[in-house]
Amino acid sequence: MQSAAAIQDAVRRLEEAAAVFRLKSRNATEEYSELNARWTDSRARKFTAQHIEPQRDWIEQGGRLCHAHLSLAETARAAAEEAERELSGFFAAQSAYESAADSARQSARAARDQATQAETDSARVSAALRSTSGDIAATASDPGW
Amino acid sequence: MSADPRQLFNILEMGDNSVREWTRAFENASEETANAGRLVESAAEELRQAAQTHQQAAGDMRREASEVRSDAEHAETASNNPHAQTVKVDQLAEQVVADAYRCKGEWENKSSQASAELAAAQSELANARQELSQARQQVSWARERVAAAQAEVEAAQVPVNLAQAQLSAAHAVLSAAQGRYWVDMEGRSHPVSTAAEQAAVYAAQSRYNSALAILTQAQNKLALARQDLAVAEAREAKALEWVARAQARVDRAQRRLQLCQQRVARSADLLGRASYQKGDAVTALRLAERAVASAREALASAVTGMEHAARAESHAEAAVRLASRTTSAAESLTAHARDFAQLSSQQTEISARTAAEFGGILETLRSFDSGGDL
Repeated sequence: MQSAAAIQDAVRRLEEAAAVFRLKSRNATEEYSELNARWTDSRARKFTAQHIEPQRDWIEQGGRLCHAHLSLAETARAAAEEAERELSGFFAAQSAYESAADSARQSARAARDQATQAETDSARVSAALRSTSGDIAATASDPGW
Repeated sequence: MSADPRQLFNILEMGDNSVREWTRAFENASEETANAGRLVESAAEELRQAAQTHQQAAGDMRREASEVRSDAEHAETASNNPHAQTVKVDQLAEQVVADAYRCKGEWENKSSQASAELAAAQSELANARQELSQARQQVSWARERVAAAQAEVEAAQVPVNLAQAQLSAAHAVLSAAQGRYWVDMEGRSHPVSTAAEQAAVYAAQSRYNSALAILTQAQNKLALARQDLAVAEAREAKALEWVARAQARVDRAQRRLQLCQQRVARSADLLGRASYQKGDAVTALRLAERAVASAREALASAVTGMEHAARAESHAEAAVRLASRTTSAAESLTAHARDFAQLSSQQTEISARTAAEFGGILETLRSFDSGGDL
């Protein structure tokens, strides 16, 4: 998973584009101001009203949007990064689970095998002990002198 | 125009460049935003799919962990019964070994008693045989004495018979003499003197008495010898009975000792067998204990597995939530990118118009200043 890295790359490019946007828009604003200061006739006022003023709104809106984009992209990056950490956590837990489950299955299988063997051995020994016990009783009986 | 045309030209040209540059920057930012929106959406979708897949896998893991735990619980139950059984068998083996040990000890004690009894019986038999031997010796001696006494009696009988015959003869002579008479001168009959005959009778009687006394003495001796023989024979008979009794006691003690020794050997064999079986019982018990320990390990591992599965599920759920948050941010970013693109497009349009306007003004200014120096 390289989602967070990909988003981070997009954020970086977005930051660069936003920085260029802010620089160029600031330059444009300054140069428009200088233009207004030096070009002051009626045509200039008409030109400013018709062409420059709308751009000032867009510069502001564009700046806000750039900021919002960065904020959203950063949110997405942080969320993606956190999600990837959670997925890493998932993988670690999955690996630990598989190890524990394998161990549990192996131990359960061993327990059943050992229990079966113990049961068989126990039955065999029990029968042999009963036979020995009978022989001991017979041997212990005293016919007397 | 209030400014110097040359200065104004420069300013306008700068403004024209500025519009173009920041419009390009706007367009670039718009394009990057759109690209970023697409990329973030794609990454968010990839994350969402991965998170959902893992959430499903975590659910499967939880179910599997439950099955593993159930399996471990069954294994624990399955191992408990053989364990209880092997504990009982081990106790039985303990009891059987104790019984065999006690049995062997009892027979060893009995064997010792039988040995002691055999020694006592053999000692008694030896005593009885010695007594028999002595009794037989006594009988032999008594018989010899009887025989001697008998011989003496027989020897004494001859003089008695002889003396008796002489006495009878003397009596006969005396009787004959006593029937004889002599006629005296006067014609009277007079018994003849029998003094000599009588003296002969007396002498014969005396010899007879002497012989008879010797005979009586011999007879008394014989009677005594016979009494001694009877006593000796009674002693011999008793000694024989004693020997028979003692021999029977020895035989019984030997049989008993043989039985005890057989039982001791048999008990030792049974003790060995029981000890070997006790070893087998302990081995079975250890195996059953290992089974119980393995089952507990299985259960502990299963519980740990369940915890890991729960943790994995928790991580997957968190990843799903965070992927959703990423998706939401991506969608907002895309929406904003569209707004931004719209603004950029409007800027591009106005930029074109502005550039055209600047172009016209600059062209006018070039004409106004004859264009040569501009």
